[in-house]
Amino acid sequence: MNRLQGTARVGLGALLALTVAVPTVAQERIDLDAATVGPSGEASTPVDAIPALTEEELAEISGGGHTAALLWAGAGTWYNALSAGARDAFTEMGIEVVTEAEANFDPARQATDIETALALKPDIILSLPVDPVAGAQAFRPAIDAGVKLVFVDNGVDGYVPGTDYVAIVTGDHFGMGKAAADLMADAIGGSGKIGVIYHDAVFYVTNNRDRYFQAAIEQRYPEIEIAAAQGFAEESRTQEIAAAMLAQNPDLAGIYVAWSSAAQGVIAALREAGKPDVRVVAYDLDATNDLDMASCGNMAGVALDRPYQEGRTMALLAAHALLGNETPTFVTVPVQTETRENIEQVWTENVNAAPPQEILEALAAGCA
Amino acid sequence: MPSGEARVILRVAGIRKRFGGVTALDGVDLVARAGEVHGLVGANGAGKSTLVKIVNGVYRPDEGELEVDGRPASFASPREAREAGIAMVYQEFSLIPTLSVAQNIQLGREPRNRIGLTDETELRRSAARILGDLGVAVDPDAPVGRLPVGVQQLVEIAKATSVGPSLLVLDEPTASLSQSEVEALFATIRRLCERGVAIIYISHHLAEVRKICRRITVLRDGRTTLSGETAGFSLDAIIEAMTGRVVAEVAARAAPPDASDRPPVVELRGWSLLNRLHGIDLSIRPGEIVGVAGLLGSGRTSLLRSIAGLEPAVRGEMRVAGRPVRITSPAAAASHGIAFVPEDRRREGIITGQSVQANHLLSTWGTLTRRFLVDERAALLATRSAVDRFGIRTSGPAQAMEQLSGGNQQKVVVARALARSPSLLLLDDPTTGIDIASRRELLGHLRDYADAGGAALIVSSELDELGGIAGRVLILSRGRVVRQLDRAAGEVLSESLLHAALHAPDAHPGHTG
Amino acid sequence: MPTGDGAATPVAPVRPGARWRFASVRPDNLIVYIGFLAILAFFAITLGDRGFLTPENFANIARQTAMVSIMAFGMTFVLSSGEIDLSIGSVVALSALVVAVLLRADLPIVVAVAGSLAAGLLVGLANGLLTTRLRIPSFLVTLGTMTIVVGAARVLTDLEPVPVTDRTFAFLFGSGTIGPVPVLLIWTAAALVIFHVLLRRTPFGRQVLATGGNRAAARYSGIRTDRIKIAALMLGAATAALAGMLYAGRLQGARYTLGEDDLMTVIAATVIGGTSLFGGRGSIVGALVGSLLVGMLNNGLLLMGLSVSEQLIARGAIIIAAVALSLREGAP
Repeated sequence: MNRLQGTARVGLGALLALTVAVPTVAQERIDLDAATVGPSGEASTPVDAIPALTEEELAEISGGGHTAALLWAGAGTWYNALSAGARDAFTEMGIEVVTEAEANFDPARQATDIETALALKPDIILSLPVDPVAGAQAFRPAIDAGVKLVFVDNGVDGYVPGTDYVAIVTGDHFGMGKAAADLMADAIGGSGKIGVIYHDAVFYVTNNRDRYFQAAIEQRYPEIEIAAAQGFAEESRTQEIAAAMLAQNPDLAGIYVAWSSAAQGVIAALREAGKPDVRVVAYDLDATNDLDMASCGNMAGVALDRPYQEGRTMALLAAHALLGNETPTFVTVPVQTETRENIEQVWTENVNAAPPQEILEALAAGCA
Repeated sequence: MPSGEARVILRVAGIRKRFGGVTALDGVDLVARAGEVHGLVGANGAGKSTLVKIVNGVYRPDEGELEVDGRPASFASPREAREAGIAMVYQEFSLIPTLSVAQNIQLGREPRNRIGLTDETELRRSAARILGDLGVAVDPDAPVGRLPVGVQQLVEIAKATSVGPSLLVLDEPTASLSQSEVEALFATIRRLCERGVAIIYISHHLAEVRKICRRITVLRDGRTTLSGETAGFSLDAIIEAMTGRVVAEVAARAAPPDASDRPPVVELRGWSLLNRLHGIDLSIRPGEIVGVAGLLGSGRTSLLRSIAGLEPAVRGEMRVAGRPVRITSPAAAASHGIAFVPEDRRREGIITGQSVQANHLLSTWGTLTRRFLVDERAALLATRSAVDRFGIRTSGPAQAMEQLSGGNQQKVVVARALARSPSLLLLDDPTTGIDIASRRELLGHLRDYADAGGAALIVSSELDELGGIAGRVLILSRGRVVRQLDRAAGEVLSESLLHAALHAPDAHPGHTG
Repeated sequence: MPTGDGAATPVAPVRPGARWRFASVRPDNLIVYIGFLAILAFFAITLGDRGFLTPENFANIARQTAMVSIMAFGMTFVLSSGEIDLSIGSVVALSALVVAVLLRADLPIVVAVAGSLAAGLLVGLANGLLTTRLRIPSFLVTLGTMTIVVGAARVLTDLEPVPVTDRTFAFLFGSGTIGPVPVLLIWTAAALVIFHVLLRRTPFGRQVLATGGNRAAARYSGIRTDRIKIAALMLGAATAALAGMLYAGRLQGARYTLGEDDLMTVIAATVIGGTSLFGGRGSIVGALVGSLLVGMLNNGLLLMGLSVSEQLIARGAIIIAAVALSLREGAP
């Protein structure tokens, strides 16, 4: 960087001295082998260890006329699967979903959603809190009203597990980060330069995945060099970022993107730059990216949690709480990876349906 | 007004003033005497406002002498001028609408009581005294914003005279006043003259200047072109001194051209608009100019607007060229050959920020095309020929509209209306706020248009003008035609006739047309 | 008979040909062009070694700014007519999804494109009718349609993205290159010419400017101002629909989040380019320059390696400066 750029950077940096910066590279060394623990340090319970309801319990719940509210942080394919899992489980248990809302990642909006939902007097609230700090105040009225709270992915600071809320069901974000690193290493043959397009905002889920990916690459794959790292806040900008990265690092072998829908722009940039061999790794199921994967395009693989299963589990835990049963308070869903080899299987397991026709046709066509 | 030579209050001689490369004043002389009203007249840019600003202490002259009360004076600020006894009433009111009359008059100089607060009683009393001296009847406690414009003008003058000046400058004092308010103003001015105040009276209304001003000075291009006793100069001489050219008054035609073989351009029967117009019948033949006179609220503007298609709620029958029509929008009116020149030029007439050409060709773009695109050459030629034909003083079709004087802007608006060769031209007070030369030119073009077979319906508060150009005048009151004057029968519109018609005990709507 | 003005008003003679042809592309806002060149020079000097001056990078900028440029052309018409359209971002999402869904149903490209365009025009028509008939300010109307349309986009595929597999469509509408020239650049250039001629050289364009300059004056002169405004709003929505299709072609997929960040960029580009927010003054070429200025700014700040926060602050500051200079230049 020449002096002009340097001066400009220093100047801007001074201006931004007060802003809260998200550490993009792990400041302390991350212990990749440590087990995933909950916010209060509790050990995690695998999702399969939650017992199903007995026949009597099922009858009791079904006849109880209970209601539930679903309050999510955002919307999209992943949330659709989560919600579908919860709704299916609730239907089986005779619990009615009275309202569903998404807060567009705005904590103020979520606080309003909670107030509105409480007016309907639900017995259960399933939620992905936008902000663990702001959530403490926002969810308090629900606790006071005796509503059973079950969280997914994010917890809420200061809440007592088991008392204030039933449980947190989460994908294994640390594990997903590590798995993404493994996918990347596989895809580019263990060595080479990669670019990292991370999420530049405070959001527990993505921050952990990004951190663990980078730590895993550094610690486990010394042959792989992170040649460029750029954050984004608006999803629509990943295409420009990827294009700029490629312009400055023409020999990139792979690019990591913070989540699936953001990866679509990256793939378009690669196509425009004429780089069919650069591999892309991201997270979560997405029809368009999976089509690219099936067509032997840039998409190499994604690491997944299981939103459908998480939804079902949340509903189940809530039902247990209504019945007065004790439940584990920190439940994790194991990491899954999807590459071209197992697209069909992953879709069937996670979405309960076959992948779209285009994907099947592309799979059948094979790679040249 | 006192006879003989009164004491000289103000004398300026050989005043020169330059702003950068522009010479605003190039050797101006003026003498204002006590108890005399001295009219200061000139076109826009002639130097009137620069001259009074020098007298008022806003500018200092580059050359020349300024004497107040026989002593040489040089003002560094308006305050010094005020202290020397010179007061000015500007065109824009300096009154604060939310305060009372008394508070406005004494603004900044309120009488205070022992503890330093405003002494309300004394405030009111002194204000009442000032107003009484001027013969102005108004409640000192009334909030100024609620008063009619004419009364506000008098309050403004009371404010200026409250410091007891020896010279008072009035800038366009009758701009927003009705006839009766002008009379009240003149009464106040006469009172001031009796007290020995010298008055400089700036106005475009030459009729008024000739009425109230003993002496007159005409400026043109920064020089004095005429000065002396008003009675000694004819109106034409004054106009020529102002403009440098002879602009003859538009003479009325003795009788309207005989067009009985052609159908009337427009006919109205039972024309009514809720609360505005009541059962008006009207018929206008080709080549006729029909005038509409009446006070504010008489429905004269509603009449025009409803014919122009701007009042969809209007009821009644309308025929254009003999065929019944129902016009519900200005676009529809235009398609029937009706063009409209609105009253508020600034808000409804011109497009500021766009060129003269854009303003001129507003309604005719569709006709200036060549293969779907605008024919730039034809457009340029069209505007240039309009500039020539209407005598529009502009540097060219590309000039920004707001740089033109009011009179020239109005010429563009009229040129635009005529560009579509309408069969009926509706004009709502087209000559307000325009200098006398442009007015005459506009009326001349209107006469040409009528001679060529066009018909016009014109609303105007300038009764002399209206009476001069219109072959027939309808007097409207409260939405009805109370009287029709026919020039051919020798009935010429005048102030007194209007007054009589509006207050006649048995005024009834007659048949017209 | 009154004489005309005897002393001839000084008017330059008409020189046919060159004079009037160039008059129609005379830049309204010289300062914007100077600013653009200044920023270009700054980045060229400081980022010459970081890939700013490469043909690939310029091709990137051209591609990245294409959609915004095209929408800015439409917005120029809307603003010039005295209205504003806040719903363009939502129309982008809707039209992208519509074309993707229609292509997925194996309909011919022409039908899919027509359907997508129709969806956009329908929104524009609704905006226009609500604004002119109900006399609600277009700001409020389009604020409402913005939400309604994005809701419709979400419902259309239940938030699921729709891939676009039709290679011809993808080539024609965003991903293709003809030689070294990206197809998006051709779209931008074509739109530039068409919209510039429409605004500056047709009676319709003059009437749009008149309507925005002074609605009353235009109306009294016989211009059907309601129809003009409706046409302008439909034109704006049409450009948003085209942008949506280009997104779908470029990304080879459509999702309901497309276009959600574009509104502010489009308005900034249009205003920087010299179009007045109050109507009556508009420049298509200026809108292009404004769009390129913003795109180049984004690109340069990115290449400089600034973090998101730093980029946002720098971008905002420079845009404020650019708009302020642009407004001052254009003020009478």
